[in-house]
Amino acid sequence: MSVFGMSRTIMRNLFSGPATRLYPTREKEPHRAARSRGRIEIDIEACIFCSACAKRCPTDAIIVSKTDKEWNIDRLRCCTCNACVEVCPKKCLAMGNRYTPPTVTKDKDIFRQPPRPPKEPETIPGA
Amino acid sequence: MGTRTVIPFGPQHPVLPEPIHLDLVLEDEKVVEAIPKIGYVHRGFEKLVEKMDFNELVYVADRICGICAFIHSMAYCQGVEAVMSVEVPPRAEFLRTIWSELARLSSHLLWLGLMADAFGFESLFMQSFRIREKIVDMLEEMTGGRIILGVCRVGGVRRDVPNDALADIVRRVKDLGVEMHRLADVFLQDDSVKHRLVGVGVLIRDQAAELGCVGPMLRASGVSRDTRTLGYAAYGSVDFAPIVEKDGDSYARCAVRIRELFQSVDLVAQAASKIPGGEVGVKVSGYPEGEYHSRCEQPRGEVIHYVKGDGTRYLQRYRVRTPTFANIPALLRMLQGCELADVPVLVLTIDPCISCTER
Amino acid sequence: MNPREHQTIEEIPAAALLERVQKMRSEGWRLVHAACTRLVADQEVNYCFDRDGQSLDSPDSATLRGMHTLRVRLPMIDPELPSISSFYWPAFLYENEMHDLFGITVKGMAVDFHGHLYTTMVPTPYVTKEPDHGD
Ligand code: SF4
Ligand code: SF4
Repeated sequence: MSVFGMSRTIMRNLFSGPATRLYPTREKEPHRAARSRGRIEIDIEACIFCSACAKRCPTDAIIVSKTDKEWNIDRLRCCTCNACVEVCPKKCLAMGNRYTPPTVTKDKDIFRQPPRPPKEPETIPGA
Repeated sequence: MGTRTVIPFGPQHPVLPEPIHLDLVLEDEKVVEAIPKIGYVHRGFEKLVEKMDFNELVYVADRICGICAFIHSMAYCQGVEAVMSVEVPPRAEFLRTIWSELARLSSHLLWLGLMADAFGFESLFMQSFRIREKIVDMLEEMTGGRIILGVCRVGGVRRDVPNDALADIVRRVKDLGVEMHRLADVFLQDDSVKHRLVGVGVLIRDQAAELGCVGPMLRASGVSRDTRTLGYAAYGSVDFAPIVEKDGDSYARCAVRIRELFQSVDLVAQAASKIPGGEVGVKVSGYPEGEYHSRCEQPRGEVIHYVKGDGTRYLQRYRVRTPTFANIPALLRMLQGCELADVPVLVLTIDPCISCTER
Repeated sequence: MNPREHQTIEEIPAAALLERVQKMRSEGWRLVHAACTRLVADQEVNYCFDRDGQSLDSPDSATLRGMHTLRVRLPMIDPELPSISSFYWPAFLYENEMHDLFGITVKGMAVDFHGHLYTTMVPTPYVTKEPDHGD
C-alpha cells in the first residue's frame, strides 16, 4: 500500500539543497567542531626536547632529538589521541582542529628549533 | 535431489561491507549448508597486551571496531576499573551513557543504510546516511572524534561537556527524531522493503536462545534480554525497557533496531536531564591485579571484555568476545534452506562486524 | 553507583567438565563465552555462564545474578579437552579458536575446522610465543 512514504522524501530532497559539500572546494566550517582532533601542532620555540611526548605516544609517531634540537612527527602513524598534548610540560603542543591534508608520500613533518645566540643568556628570542 | 555446488561467498563481495567468508553448499538455488571461515582480517590484537600497558590499551580498545568504537573502550575501562576497584565519578558515567547511545544511533543508522543497500534501495541508504552524518557531527563537537571518540580512560572520561552544550545536543537529537520517523515509515511500511524482509530467515524464540544469539537478533525473536538492564554506567538511573519483537524474521530485526533508535533518543534526553555535576575522572594509581568479565550492550549485542592482570603494567590476558561472534552460529542456521538471493540480506541482519570478531 | 556484577569462579578438573556443563545446561544457564589464558607454566580455560533473571520464562524479573565461570587448568604441552558442543552447539567456534590459537586439542567438536578457522603465520601464537614486553 505505502510506496508514497519514500516519494514524499524524494520530493522534499528535490527542492532542498544537497546534503553533501563539494570537498575540497568547500571545506567544513571549522567552527562547527572546535574540539575536533585534527592534527598535532607544535610551538617549536617553546619546546625543551624533554621527550615526554615521544615516550607517552602509543604509536611511537614522535621522535625527539635533543642534540639536533629537532622534533618530528609521522602524521600517518599518529592516531590523534591527544596523549602527547596532555603530557607536555611546556604546553607547546596543541591539537589543531584541521586535518592533515591528504598525501601520497610517507614523509615526516620535521620541526627544528633555530639555534639561539650562544653565550648571551639575557637575550631571549621572541616567541 | 539436484547436484550440489559449492560457491565461495566473500571475503570480498560487492554487497558485504565486511570481510566474512562463507562456503555455500547449494542445491539449485537453495543453500543447504554454510561453512564460515573467519580469520581473514585476524589482527592478533589480544597479543598486543604484551606490548602496551593497561592505560595505553584504551587507545587500542577504541580501535577494535570502526562502528561501536566507544562502547569497546568503555567496556575495557569498566573491566580495568572493576579489577582495580576504581569508582568512576557519576558525571563521567552519565557522559559515557550519552556517548554510548549516540554511538548506538550512528551504528543503527549505518546498519539501516547498509540493509537498504543490500536489498537494492539506494536512495534509502542515502537517507540513512544523511541522518547519521548529523549524529556523527554531534559526537565530533562533544568529543573531537567522529567515530573513534577516544574519550574514555581508566577512571573516567577525558573530556567534559558543559550542560548547555548537552542541552543543545538533546534538542538537535530530538529534531532528528522527526526525520528518523520518516525513515522508519519507509522501512516498516513500504511494500518493496517488506517484500524482501518479511518471513526471511525466521528464528523462533527457543532457537535464538539455544544458538546463543545476542542483541537485536535475540530480541527480535521475543527474548527480552538486554545487557543494559544490568545497570552499568548510568543505565541504572534511566528508565527503559528492552525492545522486543515476536516474529524473529528479518523484518522483526529491522523493527527492533528502528525502535531502538527512538529509545536511544529518549535515553540521551533522560541522561542529559539527570546528569550531575562534578569531576569527570579520578586519578588511577597502581597496577591491575585480578580478573573481571566486563559486559556492555553494543548496538550488535552483548560484548564481553575479559581483563586479567597480574599486578604488573601489562595485562596478562585481554579477551574480547564480540556480539557477532555469538551471532555467527545463528547465521549458519538461518542460511540453511534459504534462497541464494537472500544470503546477503541474511548476513546483514545479524549486523556483522567481522573485523572486531576476528580481532 | 550501581554495584558491580557478582562474578564467581569455580575451578574444576578437566575430567569433570562435561558433567558440570551438563548440569549448568539443565539448570538453564546460557554459555556467554569461553576463552583461554596463558599463565606462566600452564594455561586455563574459562567457560562463562549467565542466567540473568530475565531468562526465557520470566521476562520482567529484575533479579540479576551476574556470571558464573567454570575454570579448567591445562598443561602447556599437549593439552586436551572434551568438547562441550553437544550441550551448547555454538561452543564450537570458541573451541576451534582454542585449538587454532592455543593448541588445545578439543575432542568431538560439532564443527571441526581442523585448524583452519584462524590462519596465523605462527601456529598457536598465544602459547608458542613468549610474552615480549618490548621496552
Ligand atoms: S613534551 Fe613538549 S617540551 Fe617535551 S619534547 Fe615533547 S613537545 Fe617538547
Ligand atoms: S596525538 Fe597521540 S598518536 Fe599522535 S603524536 Fe600525540 S601521542 Fe602520538
